[in-house]
Amino acid sequence: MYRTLVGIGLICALVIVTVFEVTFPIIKVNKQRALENAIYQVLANTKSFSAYHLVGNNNLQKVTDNDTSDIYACYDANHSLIGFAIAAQGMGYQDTIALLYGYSIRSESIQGLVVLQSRETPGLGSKIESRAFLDNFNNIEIGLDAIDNERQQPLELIKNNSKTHTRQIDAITGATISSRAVVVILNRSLSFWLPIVAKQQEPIT
Amino acid sequence: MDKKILQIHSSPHISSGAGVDVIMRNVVYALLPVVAFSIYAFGLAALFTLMAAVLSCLLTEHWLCKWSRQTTSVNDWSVAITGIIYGLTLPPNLPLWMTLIGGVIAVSLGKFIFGGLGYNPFNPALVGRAFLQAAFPTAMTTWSAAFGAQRFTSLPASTLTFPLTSPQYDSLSGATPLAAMKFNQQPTDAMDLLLGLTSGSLGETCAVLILLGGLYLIARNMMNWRIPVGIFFTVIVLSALFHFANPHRYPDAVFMLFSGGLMLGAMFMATDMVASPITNLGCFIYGALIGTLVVIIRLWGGMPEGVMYAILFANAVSPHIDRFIQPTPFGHRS
Amino acid sequence: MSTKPGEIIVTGPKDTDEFIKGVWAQNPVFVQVLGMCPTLAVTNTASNALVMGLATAFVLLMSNVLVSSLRHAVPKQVRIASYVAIIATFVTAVDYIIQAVSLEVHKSLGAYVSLIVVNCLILGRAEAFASKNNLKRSIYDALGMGVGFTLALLCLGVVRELLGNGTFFNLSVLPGNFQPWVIMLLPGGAFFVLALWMLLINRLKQGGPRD
Repeated sequence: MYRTLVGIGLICALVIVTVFEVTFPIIKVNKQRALENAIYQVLANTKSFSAYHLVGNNNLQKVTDNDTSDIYACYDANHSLIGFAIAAQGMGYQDTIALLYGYSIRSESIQGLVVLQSRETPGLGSKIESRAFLDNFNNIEIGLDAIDNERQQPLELIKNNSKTHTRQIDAITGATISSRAVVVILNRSLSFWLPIVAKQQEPIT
Repeated sequence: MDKKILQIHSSPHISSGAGVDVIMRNVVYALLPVVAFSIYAFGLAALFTLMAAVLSCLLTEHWLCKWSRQTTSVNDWSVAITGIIYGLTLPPNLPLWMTLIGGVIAVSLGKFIFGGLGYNPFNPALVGRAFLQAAFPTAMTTWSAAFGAQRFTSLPASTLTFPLTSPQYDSLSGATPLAAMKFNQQPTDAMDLLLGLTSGSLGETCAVLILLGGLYLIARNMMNWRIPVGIFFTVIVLSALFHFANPHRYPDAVFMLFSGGLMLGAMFMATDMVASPITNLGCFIYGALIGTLVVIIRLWGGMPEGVMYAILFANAVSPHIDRFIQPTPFGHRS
Repeated sequence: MSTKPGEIIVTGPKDTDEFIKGVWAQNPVFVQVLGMCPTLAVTNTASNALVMGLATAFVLLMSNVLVSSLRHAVPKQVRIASYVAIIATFVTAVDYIIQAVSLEVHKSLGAYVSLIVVNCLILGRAEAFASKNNLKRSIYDALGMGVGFTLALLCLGVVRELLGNGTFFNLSVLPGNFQPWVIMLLPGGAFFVLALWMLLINRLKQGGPRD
């Protein structure tokens, strides 16, 4: 009996290891490509990027492992820093929403936003991944010192297409909670990262 | 009834004469003022929506009876009631094609699939509405203002939307009192709520007329008064309690009682004879459950209104309530 | 379901009957009502349904092959444990393969790929069929059940995607102003669509209206 079980265990282990060995490099390339695509999407002129880690209170340190990083410094064709792609996540209507947004330090503005992961209600909350909603986040000017000086939320959620300022985000009809979740996640992330980025841009460049 | 001296069938032998059709006809009488007011308040849109609702329910029932080779039960008014009540719960500018789909769902999936009248575990009208709410949430929460100037001469553009296409709304929508309260902390005058001067679903706005209709049915002993009383009592007590604790956050009891679909739901939907408990104590418990759920959903839920879900949930629970409070037979030993 | 891939070989040898049995007479979803978790949860688009069906069919085939070939070697007392180990192995493999083929697809299926391991259809076929029949018949059985499961999932997925999103395999087939039925993308809609398909199929099986 034990011999059979051990035998089956060996067969199973062999199958898993074989499949893993074959697929692991492909999966790694897939993940890398997905990350690259997302970063190029949120910060248009990016030609290369490198991942950073927060060390201590406000020091950024370069890391080699892309997977676990929250912030990526993005460089243009001349290898000069144009901005950061920052990952942020928080609670949505049903599950965690993971976002990636690009912040340009040249124009001191949010350049774009993509949703990396969300399980919002299909047809309603899932519209946070739609072009119409994400276009709200193209070109929002937020000064690097804005957070410290104003002590207010950088972005504001509004309804019924009454947008008068780029910092106002139009809520999706019927999905106010999901829309608000995105704005809240972004506000929290901006308040956290912008002061750090403001201090850090010199050594990284 | 012709008088025979020798009764040779099993009990009951004495009938009050109130069969399904008699009771249902009286419910229609009770609903007529509400229907009239909704047409007065929302004009042609209300008339067409109600007609479409009743028609779709009647046709579905008739066709399903034919299809399953039963004698048609369209004549006993019960389907007409389902249609009228279903129509009264819809927003005034809902596209007619959605109204028709909801009516078909109400009768086929809400009633017929369980075996027809007398076997439906849920109120069929609310099943139809719940389906629409889940399928077309935007259309079901877009309300036009009541007493529009051209309501008797023209239909809203959204009403005549081509089937299966999304509606275009021609005027700015009016927020219901509950939505105004929930999203903008804006209370509505109690007198407006009572007289139905607000926006809302077709039949839910005028609390006075609904109350009158309900009282008529109670007076004729055709409705169990314990259900609405249980609901009203719970809602009043709970909302007064919360309002007392934090008047800025929670609306007062009068507002809770007369806003939204609570009146219509308590009087005409929760009292569905098939889907409510049969014992008197059970009716109180059932009413209290609905009242509690309404308060919970309205105060802390994501949606401004919760009467529909409260009633559907209580419908599901009602057979268990009856079983739970069954009296012990005399002489029974455990 | 009008698709009957096996119809031409109805009169063939006995072994191939196992295939048709899985597709029609004992369809895992519409007749046996097995594997309801993926049936209700991931059929919100046709492509999700297709990938889910194929993944399940693959695991089913591989586990049936292994269980059937080892059926004389595995002692009765530990057969369930070994079946579960075999099934879990191939589910893990499928999980990696889907990630390698497309991260997007893996993301949209979420946890349900790993949940194939508890799909009672697979353990059911291993215990009820593969452990008692020879390799050839077991392969036919797995193919039949796998195809039946995939087709059933597609039946749900196509209807739900069409009504819930106005698309067919992500291609827009309805006019732009089509009003999506949100409920069809929610699990509630899956219950409705499943019930209506079962109604239709039971009707077809009975052959016209009853008298």
